[in-house]
Amino acid sequence: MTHEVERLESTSDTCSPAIALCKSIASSKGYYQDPFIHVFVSRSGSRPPLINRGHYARVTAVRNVIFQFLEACGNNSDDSSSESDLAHGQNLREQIVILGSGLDSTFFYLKNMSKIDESEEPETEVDDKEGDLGLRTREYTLLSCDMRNCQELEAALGSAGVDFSAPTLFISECVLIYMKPAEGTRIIEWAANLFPCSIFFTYEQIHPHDPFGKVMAQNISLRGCPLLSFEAYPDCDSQKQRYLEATWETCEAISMQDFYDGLPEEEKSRVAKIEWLDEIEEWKMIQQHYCFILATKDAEGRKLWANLKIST
Amino acid sequence: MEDLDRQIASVMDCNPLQEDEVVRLCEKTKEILQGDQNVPNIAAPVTVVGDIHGQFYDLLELFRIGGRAPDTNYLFMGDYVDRGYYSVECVTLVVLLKLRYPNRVTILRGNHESRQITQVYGFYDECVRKYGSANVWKCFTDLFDFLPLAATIDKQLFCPHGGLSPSLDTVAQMQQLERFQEIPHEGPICDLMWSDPDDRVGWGISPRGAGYTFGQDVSEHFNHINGFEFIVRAHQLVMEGYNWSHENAVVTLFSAPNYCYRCGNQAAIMEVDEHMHTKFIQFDPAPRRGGPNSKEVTVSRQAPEYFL
Repeated sequence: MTHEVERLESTSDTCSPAIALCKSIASSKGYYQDPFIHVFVSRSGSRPPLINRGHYARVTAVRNVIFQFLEACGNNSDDSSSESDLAHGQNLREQIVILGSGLDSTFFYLKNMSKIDESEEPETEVDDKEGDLGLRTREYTLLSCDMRNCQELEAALGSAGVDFSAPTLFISECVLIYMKPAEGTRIIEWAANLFPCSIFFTYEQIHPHDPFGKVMAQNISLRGCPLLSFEAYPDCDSQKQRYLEATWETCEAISMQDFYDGLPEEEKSRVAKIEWLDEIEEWKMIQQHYCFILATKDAEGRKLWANLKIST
Repeated sequence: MEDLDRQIASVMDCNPLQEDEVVRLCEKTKEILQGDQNVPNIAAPVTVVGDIHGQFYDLLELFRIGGRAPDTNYLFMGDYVDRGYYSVECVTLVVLLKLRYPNRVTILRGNHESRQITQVYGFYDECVRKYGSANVWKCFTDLFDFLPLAATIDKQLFCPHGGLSPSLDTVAQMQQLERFQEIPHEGPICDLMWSDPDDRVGWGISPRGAGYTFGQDVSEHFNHINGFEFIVRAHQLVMEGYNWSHENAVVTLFSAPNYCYRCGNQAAIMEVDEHMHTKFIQFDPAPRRGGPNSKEVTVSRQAPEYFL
């Protein structure tokens, strides 16, 4: 089951269409398959190779975590023998919660890949009460709430049928960084406390103090969505500390440059052939200013996440 | 002459030329460049400039700092276009200066002075946007085929846009190349535009997909057999605007401050005086000038891209 929570604030107005457009452009260039992203996009455009490749890296990192999560939960529909070797002998009803989803095609991508294997036709309810954004099906729910208020978030997820004891993957791509440090930390703590068997994935900016980081903070601020937590968690170590202090049991964080460098050589050479990238120094620099973080919790000691790897 | 002076003044105010003026400008400049060697030798004093990439207000700042032509002689090492918002104005200005002061201004070819690259990185789109058709883009890219491949300063400094080539040991070999063509995907002309110095010795495969990487041994050998003190090249972003490598066998010069309005780097130019003494001058982005009619204000709203 996939749940998406969208914050109705300026970031969703300014950023979401821009991200969806970039993801759509990168997909249409052939960086990755995303057969439904174009539905979320109302205009066309082009982006420099560096931006396309960066969205490829981001999407690859997210999918890498999703696939590992589903596999650990015993949902590996590519492999017919998986039923018998379910790591821990049970078919777990896993759920994915995408925080600050914006215009996100992940559910539809997974559904199309048969990674989500409910066979019934989904029911759809669209709720359009007073600017309330909402959509609900058996497998997919789209909610709106103010994520700064964890009680509201909890109630919204509860009403959507989220099972707090089920294995849960939280995905936050450039979401917490737009919130005040205490507000983001509250979500991280809330998730750790309420979901005993879960993974928290975050993709966001680091290194606010060097020249590139300073200009980045300024430019993104000019778009009307300042990076409110940029300075509070300036590097991979402080990010890790943040999740561990919020009682996540394990946490790893790597820069997107390290993630990209760690991709299989044949995959990197496929990507390199898509577009001629004459921005090597800038590519490295921008990738060094993004990281992804993977925190896990397995309070019941099932060792579900034992094989989880942050890079490929 | 008067016509050229008027055009220079107009472009310095960030007003692009008319299309027919660009056509004439390119035709006349081709006639001048036609007779130039592939690697002309120029006399010091001269001020050397690295990548500009359409950052026109920063180019004006560069002239404020380095002096105006012809009071200052200039060697521009290519990459006038792409990435920034004012490729048309930048390339028009340096070509106008070349035509007006052919003995005081030298303009080389960079890897972005190419039909293929400009269609990806912005110059083509900018021409179509500003002129309503691709004619101006075609005129300039045809002119680019005539640009010299590198230069030497008093036969003591070697100045290519990118770097060295495993196919070229000497400047004499470079003079034999047939340069009047689009930059090829491989081979010596491509290498001069695309190669980068590297910490690894010898020749290596370039991560850019064109040209090579070359080690300190390669640079020292090349300088030794050609009698050069060092190589001055552009092509790579360096945060301080200039950066020595290969134990002072190579210096990289980058003249676009806060590259792409995103990188936060300083820019630099290199002054070479009549005694061949060199001095680097660093500079920061031109202060944004406000005012309701400022062209810059509208442009600053086009924020550079990030992963949001």
